[in-house]
Amino acid sequence: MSGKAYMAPEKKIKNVFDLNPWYFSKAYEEYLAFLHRLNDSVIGVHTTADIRCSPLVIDFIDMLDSLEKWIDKIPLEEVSEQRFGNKAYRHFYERLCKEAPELLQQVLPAEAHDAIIELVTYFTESFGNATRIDYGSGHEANFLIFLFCLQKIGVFNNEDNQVLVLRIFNKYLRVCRHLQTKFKMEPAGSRGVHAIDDFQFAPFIFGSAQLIGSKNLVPDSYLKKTVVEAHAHTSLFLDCVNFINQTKTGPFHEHSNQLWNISAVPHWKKVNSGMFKMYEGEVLKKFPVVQHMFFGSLFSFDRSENVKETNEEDIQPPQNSGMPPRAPAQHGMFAFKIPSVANSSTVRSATVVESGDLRSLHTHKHPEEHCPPPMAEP
Amino acid sequence: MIDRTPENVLRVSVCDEGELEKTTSHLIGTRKIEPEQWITWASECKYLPESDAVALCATLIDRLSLEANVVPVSSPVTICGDIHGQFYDLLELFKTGGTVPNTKYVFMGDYVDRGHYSLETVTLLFCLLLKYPNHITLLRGNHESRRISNVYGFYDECQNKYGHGNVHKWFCKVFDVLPIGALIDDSVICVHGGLSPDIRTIDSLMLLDRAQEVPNKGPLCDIMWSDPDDDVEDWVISQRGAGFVFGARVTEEFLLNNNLSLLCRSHQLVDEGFKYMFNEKLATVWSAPNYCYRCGNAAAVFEIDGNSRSTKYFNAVPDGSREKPDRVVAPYFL
Repeated sequence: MSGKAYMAPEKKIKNVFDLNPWYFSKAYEEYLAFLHRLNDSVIGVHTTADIRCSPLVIDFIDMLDSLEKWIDKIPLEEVSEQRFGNKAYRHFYERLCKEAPELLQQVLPAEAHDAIIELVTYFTESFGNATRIDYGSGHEANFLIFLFCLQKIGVFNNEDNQVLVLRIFNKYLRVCRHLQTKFKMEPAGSRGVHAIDDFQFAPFIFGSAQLIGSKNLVPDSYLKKTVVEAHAHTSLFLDCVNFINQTKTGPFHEHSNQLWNISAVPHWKKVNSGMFKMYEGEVLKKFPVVQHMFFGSLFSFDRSENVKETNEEDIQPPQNSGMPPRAPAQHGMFAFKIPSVANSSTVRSATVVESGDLRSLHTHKHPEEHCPPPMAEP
Repeated sequence: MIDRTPENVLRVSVCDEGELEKTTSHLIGTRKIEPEQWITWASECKYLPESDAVALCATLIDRLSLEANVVPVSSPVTICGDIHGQFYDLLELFKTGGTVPNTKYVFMGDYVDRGHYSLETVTLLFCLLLKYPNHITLLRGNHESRRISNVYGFYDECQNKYGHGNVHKWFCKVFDVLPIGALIDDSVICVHGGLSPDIRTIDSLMLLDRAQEVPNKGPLCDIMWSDPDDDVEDWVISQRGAGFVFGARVTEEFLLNNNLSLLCRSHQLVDEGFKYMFNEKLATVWSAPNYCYRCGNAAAVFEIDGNSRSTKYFNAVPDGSREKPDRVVAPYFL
């Protein structure tokens, strides 16, 4: 990669009409392939399995560990009646932004230092948003993109895939949970009880892969609290369910309805493949999530070469009925939809949004939920 | 016979009237209006068949369109805050405060989103409104809008339960015509969020064109989005992205100008369920216990009877007394 011109990543998905170029981009294709590689590397592998960690990996984990120590040191700000978002989170984020380039410089080998200008964006974006004090699957994706970039510049190779998931990503999860619970971060763009989890998605993908071939655990097993507790250390999936059991009260089928439904799937293999489809449909293809994504030379918005030349019609913005061309088959209730646009013709006020008026107000923290920013009009 | 001359009917044509009417008009009038039957179903945490739901909505739209923006209510009355799809906790609320029509209720909005049973919750409340219009008043909250309920759960729920978005559209059309305020004994004003710098009098509140999607700004938006704050003098832009944060001075000014004694609102979680601010000039009522299945908070209803005011508290219903639904696997996993 020497001689490559790195650049500070930029946002490219400004409105729903930018979604199609995103589906066709190198970034989309390579990121998805990367996730599949990670996924396949941990099929049937326990989280606690004996895997070799290079000194570089240990340094990485230490670096994430130091972030976690910062969290402990930050005193909480007194809250009165706010349920979400302790402002003290901003101290963490401020320090992260300030020290991230140096942290990366310390762990990365010298030949990767040029790339830090790109890497640092994904790294700092991984730990939530300081304005809204929220965290969601978009932030999680940033960390995976960060790992993807590291693999692309050769810091990690394909042999490291297991370690990336079970050690580094797992450690990242601990840090994020620590942030979420300590600062009461809000689930970003929450669809409430209809999302798979308030905060994470990827560990459900990787974790279900880990459980493929399990002799004593079927998907139905994770409804039992004691089973989950006993096996949480073996799979990221069960670890996440365990975390939900610890942080939420009330009936499981109400607060985690998606997981309750998925427990009826007969095999982990089906769960795993379903998770991938759902990740594409509910995260990668959702404008509210991907509008915040950054693109640079590594995670590139350029059109993928593998996409066949298409005529003008295919580059038309996706309509209600139009499936994104490269989407896997999706049916029924979660079929591709862009709620804002699907409804913009039906909502009178949506057509009179002055661009930026509300978004510019989003520069400070909010106590509770938000008025979602107006979807950009073409 | 209801007088439906143009002056008396609010403009309801908010959305793609034509399309929606075309696709579902055959459903209106094909079913009889059966409030008793519907209430029985809804009380068992069931939602209505599509044609009944549409008939319910269409009837309510006709009726609510004739209501003023701020409806007068006489005490004794029980005031409730956010419900957020917590169906079983709503039943607990009725146990605590009394059943309709034995108790007269004002609900201050946010019936849907967040909780698991938005559809069943709003169905029950709408059925009660249909049967007992003089004993229950439903105000509009910021979640009673397309933009918010698309994101926070209600849309997904309708989509899952009916298999399409039509019923959600109908419910949203009812939301468009829900009143935005209630005036109790000419002395207590109830709204969902709070005040607006553009609204100085109840009269100006009456003049707003409310039959529309909740806008991104302006008085109609502020009424449903604003929050009070002890540290604020008068007006500060709200960091929620809509509405304002308002202080004690403007609250007292508003009450004085309109000869009122109390501003009652919900919109913000209060751990105890009820909280006075600004020297008992403003009250926040919260009626969703253990909000989002994690907050562990209590809930309350606020009773007003002439000059006496009292608060009743209740907690989340234990897991055992809730029905367990069937598991429905999303198509992704088939």
